Amino acid sequence: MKITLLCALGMSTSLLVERMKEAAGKRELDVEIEAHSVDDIDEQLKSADVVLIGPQIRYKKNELFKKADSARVPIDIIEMRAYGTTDGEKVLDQALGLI
Amino acid sequence: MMERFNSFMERYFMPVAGKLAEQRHLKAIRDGIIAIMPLLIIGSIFLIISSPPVPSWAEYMKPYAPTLNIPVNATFGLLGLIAVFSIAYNLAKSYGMDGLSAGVLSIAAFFVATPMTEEGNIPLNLMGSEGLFIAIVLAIFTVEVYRLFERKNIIIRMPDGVPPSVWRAFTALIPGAVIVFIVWGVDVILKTSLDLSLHGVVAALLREPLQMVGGSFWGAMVAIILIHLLWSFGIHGISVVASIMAPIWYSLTDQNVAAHQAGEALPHVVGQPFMAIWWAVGGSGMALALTILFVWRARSKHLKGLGRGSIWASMFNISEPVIFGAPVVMNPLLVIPFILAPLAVGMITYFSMTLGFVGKPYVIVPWTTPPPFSGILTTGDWRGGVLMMINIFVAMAIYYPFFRLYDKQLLAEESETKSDETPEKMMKAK
Repeated sequence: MKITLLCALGMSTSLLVERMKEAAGKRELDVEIEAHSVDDIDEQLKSADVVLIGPQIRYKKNELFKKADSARVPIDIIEMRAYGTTDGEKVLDQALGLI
Repeated sequence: MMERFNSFMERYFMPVAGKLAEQRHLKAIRDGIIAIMPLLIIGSIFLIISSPPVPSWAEYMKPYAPTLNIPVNATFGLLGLIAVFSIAYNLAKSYGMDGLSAGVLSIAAFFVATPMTEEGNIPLNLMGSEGLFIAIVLAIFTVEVYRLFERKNIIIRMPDGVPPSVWRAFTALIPGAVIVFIVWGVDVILKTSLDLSLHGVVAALLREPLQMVGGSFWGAMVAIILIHLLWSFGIHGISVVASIMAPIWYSLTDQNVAAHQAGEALPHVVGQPFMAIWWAVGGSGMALALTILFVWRARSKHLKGLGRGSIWASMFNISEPVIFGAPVVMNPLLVIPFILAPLAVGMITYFSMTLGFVGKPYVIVPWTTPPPFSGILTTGDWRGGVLMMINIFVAMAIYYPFFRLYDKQLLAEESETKSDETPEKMMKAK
């Protein structure tokens, strides 16, 4: 299973990815988690099972959600507080809850 | 009040920002220019080597300048030429058309519109930032005409079984001829009847006014306020604002590069490095200053922990952990200094550079370059590093009273609950 996080450049979400991997490791889940730039969404929708986007790019919601819907990939905006505190557990829960 | 303002923003402002981000032509321009970014950073490396930030070293390097300028000319110097291709490519792709043909056609259109020198050579000065705006115009024109032909089906169709590389060349044939003919025709008419060129007209109508506004002190201040207002609502401000302003900032910087190479005084303070680096030390809002305060002075568990956890990201100008973690977003107490600090820093920097205390920036570095190196490298002046440190102290002073109040609030809440659940409680309290 693959979870993809998208933000403006894939830079700030990569911090969150590390925490999510730790959280997944603790639960012994077999997941791939990657951070990418939002411009790579088309590419990512081909391989991801679920996509989460950083709250700072939620103004692109319409475009991104439309794309994800037509690719039949569940998508959501990362909850702001969890994003800020890089709460890997919570965001992992959010991702798993979408599938 | 904040609540109501926020829902107002979500309802009316967010769709505008979204539309702006999705707008096809703006997006193609932005993506096209982002594609050039690595080249500009490579060119910048040679710029730094040819004029190191210490005067005596710079003197030593002087004889090597012509050789070191070759890669600079091949990167910064071709900004316009590369942009016409990459913008047309991206725009065509966004329509699901063939990007390569569109890019190739747009290069032809660009050269048709470019007057050659008297010796019949390509004028290098029009290939750089001077050609950037006409490049944008012609890239869009080329793709739109091309698309019109495709939609009306006025293209040469090849039978099935012909390899794509062959039919691709032919589909572009009719629209390509028309594009070249129109650009050529307009240029000839302008030349013969008014003694003008397309380059001159675009410069007068588009480039000059846009640069006048975008490159001015007030233009920069408005941009800084807008960027931080957006961040205050948790929106990536620089992405939104740069999607319109980036071409202007890059071309201003390229003019500084050209002046630097010619040994002239640099014309502009505002440009790409000013807008991407100078008021954004530690990320938007001079976030490094706030993060340092968290680590150094915070007494609440939340801010102390957040500061320790995000100081390294902040050193490399990534501010999201602090902006969303503190949070600054929708937190009136921190939003005020979050807007004031970069504004003050922007003003100090602008006037220090205008008055000549510090060199004007002309070098483009990756935005993750930590302070004070980013200050030294962008200006090619060691005093740039000093100014950047002063800026951080100024920002800390602006943040301090607000930070203290917020820290006290959190501390009171923490001692009330005496549990680790403080963040959630706070969220509910808001």
